[in-house]
Amino acid sequence: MPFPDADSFVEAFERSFDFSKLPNLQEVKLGFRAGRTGGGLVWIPMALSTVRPATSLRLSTIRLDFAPSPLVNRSVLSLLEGATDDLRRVEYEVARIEREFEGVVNLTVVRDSVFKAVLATLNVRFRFCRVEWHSMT
Amino acid sequence: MFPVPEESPAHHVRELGIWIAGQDWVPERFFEYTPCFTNAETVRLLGYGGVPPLRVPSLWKFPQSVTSLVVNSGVVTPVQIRDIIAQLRNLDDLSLSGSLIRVDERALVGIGTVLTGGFGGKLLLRDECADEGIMNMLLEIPTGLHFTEVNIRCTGERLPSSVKLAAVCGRTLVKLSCTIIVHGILRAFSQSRRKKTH
Repeated sequence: MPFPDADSFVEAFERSFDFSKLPNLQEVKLGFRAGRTGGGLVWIPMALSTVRPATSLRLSTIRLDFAPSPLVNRSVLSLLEGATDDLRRVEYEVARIEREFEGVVNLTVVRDSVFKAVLATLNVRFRFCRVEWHSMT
Repeated sequence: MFPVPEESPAHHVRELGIWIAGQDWVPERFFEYTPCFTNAETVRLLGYGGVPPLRVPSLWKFPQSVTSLVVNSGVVTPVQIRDIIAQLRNLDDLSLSGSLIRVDERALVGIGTVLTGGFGGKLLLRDECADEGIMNMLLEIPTGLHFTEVNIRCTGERLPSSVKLAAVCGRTLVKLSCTIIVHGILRAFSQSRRKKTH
C-alpha cells in the first residue's frame, strides 16, 4: 500500500499501534530513518508530529536517524539562526508528546556531526527532553 | 571428521555461524553433519554474493535444539527461509535482515501455515526482510506469535503489516521497536506541513 502523499503517511501512522491491545508492553521505541534532509531542521518536528498515542500512554524513546548532512560547510550558528521556526515547532511537539504520553521522552539522534551542537542546544532548551547523540563511526 | 561420533566435540557447540554464500561459503556436504551439533542453540546463516547462486535450504538439516535463527544474506527467497524455519520446531528468536531474492508474490500465499515453532522470544526484521511476504508468512502461522520483543525497521508502506505483527503478539509483547524509513516522502511532507502551519 504505497503512500500517495505526505498526509496519508501521517494518517496511517496516527492510526497505527493501538497500545491498549498490548497490555504488557513496557518499552516502546519509535524511530525515523531519514535520507537527505537538505541540511535543515524541519524534519525533526515533522517526525515528531507523527508520534501519537493511540489509546494509552507508553513511549520510551524516539530515535531520529538520518544520513550525513550534505551541507558540511554550513556553520552551526547560521543553521540555528535560520531555524527559529523549526526549533519552536520541535519545542511544541516535544511538549505535546510529553503531555500525551505522560513521561520523559528520550530523543536519540544518530550520525550527523553538524547537528550535534544544534541538538545540544535543544537539550538545554527542553527540560524533559534528553537528547543523545550517537556517532556511527 | 570423527570416526566415533561420541568423541566429536560437536555437542559442546552452542552457536553455528555458517556462510551460505560469497567467497567463504561452506560446501553443501557440511549440512549432512549439522545435526551432530546436538546442543546448538543459535544458527546464523550469513553471506552475500552469487557463489553459489542458489542452493536448496529445504535439504539442509539443523539440530532440533536450535531456539534462535539469524539470517543475514542476499541469496535466499522467502520460501527458502520458510523451509529453514519449518525444521526448527523449538524456535523462539528470529532475526531476518539483508536482501531477498524476489519471487512471484502469489507463490507466497499460505507459506506460513506449515510452521510450528514457539516464536516466544525476539523478532527482528530489517532491510528487505521487513517485507510483505515475510510478514504475511509469520501472520499465517497457525499457532500464532508469542514474541516478547519485536524490532522492525521498514518503509512506511510496511507500517500496517508491522502493526498487525505487533497486534498478533498481543499480551506477550513487552518491548516494541519500530523504525520507519521516511526519506521518500520527506520533501513532500515538510512542504505539506509548512502549508498547514501558515
